[in-house]
Amino acid sequence: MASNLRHVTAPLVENNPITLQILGICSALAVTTSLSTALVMSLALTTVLCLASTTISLIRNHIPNVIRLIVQIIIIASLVIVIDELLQAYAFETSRQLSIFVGLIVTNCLVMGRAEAFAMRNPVWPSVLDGLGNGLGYSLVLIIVGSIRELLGAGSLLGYTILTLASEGGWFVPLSLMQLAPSAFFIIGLLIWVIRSHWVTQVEVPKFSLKPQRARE
Amino acid sequence: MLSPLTPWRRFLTRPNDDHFKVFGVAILVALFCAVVVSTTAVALKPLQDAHVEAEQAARMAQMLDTLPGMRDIMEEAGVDTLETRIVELATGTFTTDIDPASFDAQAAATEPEQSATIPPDADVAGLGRRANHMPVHLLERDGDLLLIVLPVQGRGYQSAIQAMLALEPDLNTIAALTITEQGETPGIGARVEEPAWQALWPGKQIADESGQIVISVVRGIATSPYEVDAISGATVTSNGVANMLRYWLGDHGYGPFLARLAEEGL
Amino acid sequence: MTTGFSFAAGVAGVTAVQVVALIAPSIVAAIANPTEYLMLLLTALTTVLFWEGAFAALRTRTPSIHGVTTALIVCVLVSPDLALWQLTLALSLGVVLAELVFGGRGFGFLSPAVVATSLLVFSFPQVSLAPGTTNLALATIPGAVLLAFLGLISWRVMLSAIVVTVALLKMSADGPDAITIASAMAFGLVFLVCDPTAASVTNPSRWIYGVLAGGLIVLFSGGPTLTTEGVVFAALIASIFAPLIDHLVVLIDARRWRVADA
Repeated sequence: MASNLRHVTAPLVENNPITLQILGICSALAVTTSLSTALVMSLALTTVLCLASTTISLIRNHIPNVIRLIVQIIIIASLVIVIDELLQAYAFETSRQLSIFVGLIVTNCLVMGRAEAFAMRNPVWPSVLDGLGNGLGYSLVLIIVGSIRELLGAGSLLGYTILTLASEGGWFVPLSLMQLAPSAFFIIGLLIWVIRSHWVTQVEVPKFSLKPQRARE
Repeated sequence: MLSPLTPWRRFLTRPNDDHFKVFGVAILVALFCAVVVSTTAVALKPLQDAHVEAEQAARMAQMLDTLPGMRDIMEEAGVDTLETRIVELATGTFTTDIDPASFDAQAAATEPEQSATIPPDADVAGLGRRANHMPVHLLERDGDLLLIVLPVQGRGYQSAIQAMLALEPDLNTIAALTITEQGETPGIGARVEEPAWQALWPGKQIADESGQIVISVVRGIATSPYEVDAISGATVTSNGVANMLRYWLGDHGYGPFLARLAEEGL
Repeated sequence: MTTGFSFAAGVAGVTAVQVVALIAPSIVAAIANPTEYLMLLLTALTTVLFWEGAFAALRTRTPSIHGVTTALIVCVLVSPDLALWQLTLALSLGVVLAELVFGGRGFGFLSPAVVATSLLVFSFPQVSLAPGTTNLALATIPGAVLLAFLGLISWRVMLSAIVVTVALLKMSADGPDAITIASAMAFGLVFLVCDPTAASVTNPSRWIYGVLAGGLIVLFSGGPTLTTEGVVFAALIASIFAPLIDHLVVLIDARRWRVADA
């Protein structure tokens, strides 16, 4: 059981899909302008990931090797369409904000990556936990980035004003940069920096290194 | 021993690289997914449509609320929303061949049979194509036009801008302008959506006495009834809004329709 | 590098020469608004030296003073009425993200001054940068000559950028005259576009880099009058492409040698 629990806890920080494997960056940039969209996206992705892992793991012994990627994509794409339709029906406003990015969960390397790397060769229960863990790891980063961007870019969290804007009589001048996609790169970069300073094993070996200095002749 | 499940078991026990199994698995997965997806889509369609309709109605209501006295007139006339009719842009006449409830002008603009290329010299809004038909929203009382709302589209700095333009019965005075969709730079161009800027439009005139369309945005302070202050730092977006009006009210847009309306009435 | 020092002395030497080259433009900016400029400069210097010190402590190295050039450049570029906290924020982001996280001067691939000013403009849409004046351009010339003489900036980049900018603006009917154009972009060209850590380093790619930067300056200025914002953004995008241009030029050269050998 303890080893099963590792499937959930490991991807949170130590083996985080975004900060270590650098997967799913596209949506992490696009949907983190506010915390609420980040939350819905996290929920949608985690659900898709869990369901996809379950389904693929269930039929893993009968998926012919030659068409395994197509089968995985069909299953993931169907799940995404269903989730998208559900959002449009029950969370219309949020689905408008997420626009195309729910549909793009299909192309999120994270989902395919977990299906191919884990669910194809593991029983159902560990696969579900692995999907859940990776979904939560992704969500954690999205929520952190979304909170920072909404707080500094608009002075609010989940739409509630935290820092009163200067234009509304307060003192806070919002950083427009935080509402633009590059800021998500900066925040994720800084997050990776913090994580890798703490978990030094995550640091990649440099491809090139400077030669030691030699005295000139 | 012959149970209905036997062929299924036999199918599953085939090796995974067997051709029959490859095709079988592919077809079964595709079939299963297709059923799931289409069931969800069909089952949820009414709910989604209701949301879309509610959204459109909310936009219209929001726009009507910005017009002073319009609610009273509507109450008097006993209607709670505007009547929608489809206009054929080239002739300026109403058509009843298309159902206003299901007509999607944005989708029609991309269909070759339902749209026309805009000649480059007329294309001030940078649209490229426009639908042959557009929905217009009317408020009338005893055959007299009280308000007409025209949907318009144009290009801003980095995105397509959608708006609703309400005109007074003289068909030349702006009653209201509401930006319904835009994806401009947050904090700069996106300020076209702010009510404060949209409030600058009512009362402005579109064409001068000779009938020339002259409405424009200016940097600094607007001095004539044909000018509106641009948003500082967002000149391109502001000009995009003005160009959008110039195109849609011109000869290639609603021009023929408005001319016919002025001449013949409804 | 024509200065014959060892690596460490070289970097310090470059900083010293750049500071000398920046004295005249800084004086021009200071004379225009003495009090405001002084406040901006003090804030900027405190900010960069704080971060240099913090990173030196973090990495247990001796602190460096390369940030001083960044502070001087940014103080000339910003308009004198900029809020001090905005300057602090932008400079902190620029110095940390573009230089110190990479390991210090010479390890990053963008000029920290460019990153600081562009982040300033992106973050605060209301903030505008000071337009380049003729006086500023004249004050830039001695420094430019010094830097070019020591091989720290490339005349190829300057020449191609100016030619392309002037040519493009002249093509659009009523462009301003060449002198106005050159004076509007002189400071940014010398200290941002030609930055020794951000510009291309092989001679053919310096031409390409200059052409790219010149074209981008016109594109981002978005009109016949050049803006400082346009020059800053052009420097940002051009220096992102600089390593790629270098890489392609080296590849082509390598192929040519291989053919010659065979």
